[in-house]
Amino acid sequence: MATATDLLIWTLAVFTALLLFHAAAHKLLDTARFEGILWDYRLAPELAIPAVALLLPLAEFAVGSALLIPTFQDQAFMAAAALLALYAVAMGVNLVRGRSEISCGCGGPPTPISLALVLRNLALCTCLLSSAALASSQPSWLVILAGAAAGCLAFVCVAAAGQALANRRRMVARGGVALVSGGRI
Amino acid sequence: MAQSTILVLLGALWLCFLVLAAVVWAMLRQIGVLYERVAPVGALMDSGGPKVGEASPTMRLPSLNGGGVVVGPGRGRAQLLFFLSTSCPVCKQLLPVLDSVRKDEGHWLDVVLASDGEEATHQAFISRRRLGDFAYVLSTELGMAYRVQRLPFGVVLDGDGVVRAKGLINNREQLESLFHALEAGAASVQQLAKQRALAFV
Repeated sequence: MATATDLLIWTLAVFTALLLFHAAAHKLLDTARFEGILWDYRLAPELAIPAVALLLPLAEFAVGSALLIPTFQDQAFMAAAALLALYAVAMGVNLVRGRSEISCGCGGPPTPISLALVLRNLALCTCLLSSAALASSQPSWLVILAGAAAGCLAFVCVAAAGQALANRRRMVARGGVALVSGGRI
Repeated sequence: MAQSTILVLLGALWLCFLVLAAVVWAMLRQIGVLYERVAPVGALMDSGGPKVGEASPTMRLPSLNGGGVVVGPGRGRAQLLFFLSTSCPVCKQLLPVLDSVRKDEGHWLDVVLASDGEEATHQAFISRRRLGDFAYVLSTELGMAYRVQRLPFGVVLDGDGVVRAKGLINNREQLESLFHALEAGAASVQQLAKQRALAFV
């Protein structure tokens, strides 16, 4: 039982860490673009945007790294949940404002913000918080390794799915045939 | 079977899984890149304002960076009018591109940044974004003359002040498409595609 829990915890930790690294890399590699995205959110004052554009990816990177270190894992789960909740609120505010056309800035292909993204973040938040609540024992390296592999696999699958959805949006935008819904738009 | 053998096999299985998943992701990304490559990259044309091939209205405007700017016929040099606002993220993203265009194409092309609104806001924008070397005009009339509705908007005039290309600019490729239009003699990529349509069918 404890082994199964540890396996799940490590899967989630590695998955979330990769998600955060991926997002941070996208933000740091194209700062100008991310500043534009932040500006679109209309939440931070314009003068603060360059600082926020640098701090957010650094925070993501730090939290992602801490998730992989057993000593800090519990706190890192909370911090990651806080980050994702912050993003969910930022997206929610703009959805309420009716500005649903803005890019989410999640990393990966351009994705407009949507209720689905808010719910995705909140679901991940719940998982992270419940992981933080579970007492972590000292799992064997085999469990950690298996969890890491499963986490990597989960991340790659999610990234691939995100890319597939983005491709579908492009196809629909071009007036072509959408593969997923199977009909002509 | 020894336990270590099972572990090695399990490890190999995980490795195969991961490689397969990575390959799927890479392929989907390639499809995404392909979409970007074949997308209509040219600047989208809005209707209204002087048409391509027509002469630009002549205007004499003061530049915020000193001196004056003449827009329209009789200049002998090509001109890029770039309409922007201080609050448009894409405009800011394109400023470095415009800076390199101004430096690299300066021997035949003048770049003019155009906007409207309060002068103080734009002066602050100029000093913050280091735009002191650009001709920078504030003129509601200029924007009205070209029926600029969405930003950033670019207009390319040839040496005789004739509009050679114009359109909404969202990235470097679309900006370059305006210059290609000047060289190729086609108003927009859409028109060029129409001209070449038979070749693609």
